[in-house]
Amino acid sequence: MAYISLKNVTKTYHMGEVTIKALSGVDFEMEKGELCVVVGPSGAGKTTLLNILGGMDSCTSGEIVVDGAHIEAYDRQKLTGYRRDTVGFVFQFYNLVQNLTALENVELAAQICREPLPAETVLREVGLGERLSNFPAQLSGGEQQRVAIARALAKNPKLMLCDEPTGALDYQTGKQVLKLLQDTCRKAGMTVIIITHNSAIAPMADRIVHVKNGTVASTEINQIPTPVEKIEW
Amino acid sequence: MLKKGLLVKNLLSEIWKTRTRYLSIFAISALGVAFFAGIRATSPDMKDAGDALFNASNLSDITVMSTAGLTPDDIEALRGIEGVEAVSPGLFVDAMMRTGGDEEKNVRLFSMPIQEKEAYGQLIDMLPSYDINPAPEYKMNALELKEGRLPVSDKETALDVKLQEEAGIALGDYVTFETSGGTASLRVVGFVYSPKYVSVFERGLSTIGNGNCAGFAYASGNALTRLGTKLPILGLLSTVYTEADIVISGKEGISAFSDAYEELVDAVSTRIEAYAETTSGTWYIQDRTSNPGYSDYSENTERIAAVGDVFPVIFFIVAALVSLTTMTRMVEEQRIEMGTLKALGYSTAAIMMKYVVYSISACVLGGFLGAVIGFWLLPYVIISAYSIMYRLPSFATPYRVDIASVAIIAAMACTSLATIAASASALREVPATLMRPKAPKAGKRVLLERAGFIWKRLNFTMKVTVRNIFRYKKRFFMSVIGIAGSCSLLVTGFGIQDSIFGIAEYQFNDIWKMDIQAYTYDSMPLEELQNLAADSKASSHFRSVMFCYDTVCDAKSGDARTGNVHVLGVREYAEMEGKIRLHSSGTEVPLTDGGAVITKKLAELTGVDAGDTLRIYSGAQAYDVLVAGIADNYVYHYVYMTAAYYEQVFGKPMEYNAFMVNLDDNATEGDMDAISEALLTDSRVYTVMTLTSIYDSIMKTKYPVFSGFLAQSVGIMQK
Repeated sequence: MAYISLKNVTKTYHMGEVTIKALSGVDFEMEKGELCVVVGPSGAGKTTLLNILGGMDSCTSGEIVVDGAHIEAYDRQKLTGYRRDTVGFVFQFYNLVQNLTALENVELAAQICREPLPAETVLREVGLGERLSNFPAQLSGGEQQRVAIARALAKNPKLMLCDEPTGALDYQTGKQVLKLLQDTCRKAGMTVIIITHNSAIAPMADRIVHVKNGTVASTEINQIPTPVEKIEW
Repeated sequence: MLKKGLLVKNLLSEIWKTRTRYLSIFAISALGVAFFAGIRATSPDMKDAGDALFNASNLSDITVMSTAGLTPDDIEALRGIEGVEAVSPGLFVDAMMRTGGDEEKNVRLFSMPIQEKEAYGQLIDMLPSYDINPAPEYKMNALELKEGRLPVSDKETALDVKLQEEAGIALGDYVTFETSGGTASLRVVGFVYSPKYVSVFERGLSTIGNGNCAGFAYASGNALTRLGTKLPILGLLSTVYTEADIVISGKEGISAFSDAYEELVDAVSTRIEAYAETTSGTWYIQDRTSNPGYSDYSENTERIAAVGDVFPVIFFIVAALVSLTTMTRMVEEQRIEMGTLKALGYSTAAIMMKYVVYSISACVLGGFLGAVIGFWLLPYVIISAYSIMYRLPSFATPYRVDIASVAIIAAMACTSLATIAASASALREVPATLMRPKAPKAGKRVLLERAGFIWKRLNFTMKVTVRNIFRYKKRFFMSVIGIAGSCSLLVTGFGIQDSIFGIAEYQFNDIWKMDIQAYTYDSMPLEELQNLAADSKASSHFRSVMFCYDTVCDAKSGDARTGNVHVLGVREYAEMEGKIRLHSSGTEVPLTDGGAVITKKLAELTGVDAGDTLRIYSGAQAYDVLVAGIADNYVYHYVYMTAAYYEQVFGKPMEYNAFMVNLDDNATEGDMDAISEALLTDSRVYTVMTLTSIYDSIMKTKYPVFSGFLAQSVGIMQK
């Protein structure tokens, strides 16, 4: 059985009298240690898919299995534990706590995990050894996103979920961040899912999932992923 | 248990960054708790201040009098009664005091033992001596000297401080006391305060003159015997006292305002009554409530306590609303942070803790500051205001842990509930929803749109405003309630101030219509008073005159007793026309020969209604009055009756001691003064008041307390 497997996952939102079908039967699988890029146009349901997979939202129907565990059956408390120990999130707008320094932001995530990595080491690994005691507002966008990645990494999760990690970054910085994610996947053997509307970055992945209208349109296995340095858009 | 070190750090820097918001919760809690604690503490503080005064002066608990006088045997018997700690026998007499400056005052003269008696030798041993103090070490009803010293001889007197101010007397002056029984000229050696008179103004009733006592004086018992004490068997050769002050035992640590104290006094009174049955006279056993102003003071402490029950609730509601709005806004601003923490795996409780601790800490810190300020400021302001009316030489404003805990816990409950309410709904959402900016509330069509002719005329901004009112109902109602709360505070405050001062206006515009009131020293037959008025040089200005009898009594119905009730007798109702208007909410309440008309507040206080009987006391004598009607009135209490009904009630023809005058329309302010002066040249005339001077005296003496703060709080309960 695949490390991660989604079967016929649907999600319906009720907005007053209006019903919106965000996911209408998503099926896909991926293996441990893979880098997966989910591409698709805005409104296709990429973020919803990621949120459901990360325990940030519940699905309406279907089956989600991560490392043998059925996430769709979890209650609130179990989902909190799942988010704490299994998943690391990287958001488009970094979502750092403004009142805490870079180091403290990473520790904030690590202090409640079962097997965290040392926060300082992780920050050095992402190249922020000199910025440990800076507050988010004192860091550039790219640096903030690297703190966010360090925060996700320090939790030592089974799964890293990145929602448009380069969406708010310029080309060069975006590339650096993607490189960091690719390296993390390769060196640490981390399972990483990146969602993006930019199909140009898809070649960096081991697996490319095309999402359209709330369903998976196609899945490609990329035998020889392109190093990020070689990708241009 | 999760590790929360960094959440705490996050909370602390949040507090620092949003300190104005934190301060707003802090301040409203401080205000709420200060009000609550302060108003609640005022009543016990006032009681403590009273107790301090009573204990320091060892104020007597019971005063007994007997129509037959009290013999040394009676005094001995009283000393032997269980629960009696000490008995101090004495004399008192109501006398007219005349000063060198020809001022006349109706004074109650008390005897006091003169400690230095030995120095004067045994000069008057054949006469009964009232100056021997059987227990010189035991001091009861200790006088407090303002100036000078206490009398040490039979030719000296110490006067009420009130008389010093009103009659313009200086130390060393001679004053003459006159009664029907004799005259005594005494030298003023001191000005004193007496614990029996807690009020600054009130001196109770007098058995002579207009029935109103103007002050008290102390002199030796032998000085008093020269005046006679109006007792039937005050013989020359036997010692008979008019009254005995009694201090009861076993009241240590018991407040004079408590039920326990009342029970103690009642128990001793009952035993004294039992003894009184065995004697020949009729005894009057009075507790401290007979002391002028005493029960008023005690009622005022209760009144303040009642204000404390209601008023602070409004502040708590406002405090809860402020917390709710503040925390709702804060939670809404921090949705993303809450979502992020959830995404990191923090539990709802851990995240909510930040907001709960934020608001509770602000509230508790504010509460402590509020308590510290409130316990001092409010009692200080209120008691200072009351000390215009009551003599409160010393008062303390201690911190009261019980009141503070209630206030702070209540404030804490309000704010924490508001915070939980504000954050719980946000945290119930899934983290994914929290991370998204909150979807704006859907716009809705409103009913007004159906009314096309109005809707079409509204401009764009107006349309948006109307729709938003219905779109954000919660915000709308929070604003409405918040503004309503603040407004109700303001309106009550101003309203009460207005109604108190407005009431006086009403009294002077709608009820009292006379221009001048004149009083004589003694009552006289109608014809004599008519001649007095007619003979006066001022009479040319009189348009109409009403002759009447005004005396001050106590009223009682059941357990309710009210002092300072004016019984006003008039020859006939028709004469009141243009002087005093008897009406109830605009409807005339005519006065007939079949009963009395009493004023509304008196009816309320005594609980009587038209058709009931009201018992009034003139001195010790009780009379039953049939209440025929109830009329509006706002200043003083009145029982109006016709001369015919007066005769029926009191069993004697009515005499007259006052007249009220309407002047010619063209009488000026200057004429008024001339008229007063002309009337006062007659030695029988005691006082002449113009309506303007009455107005001033009432507004200045009766209501100084009701300005500002107190007008806003005390008045609530007075309505």
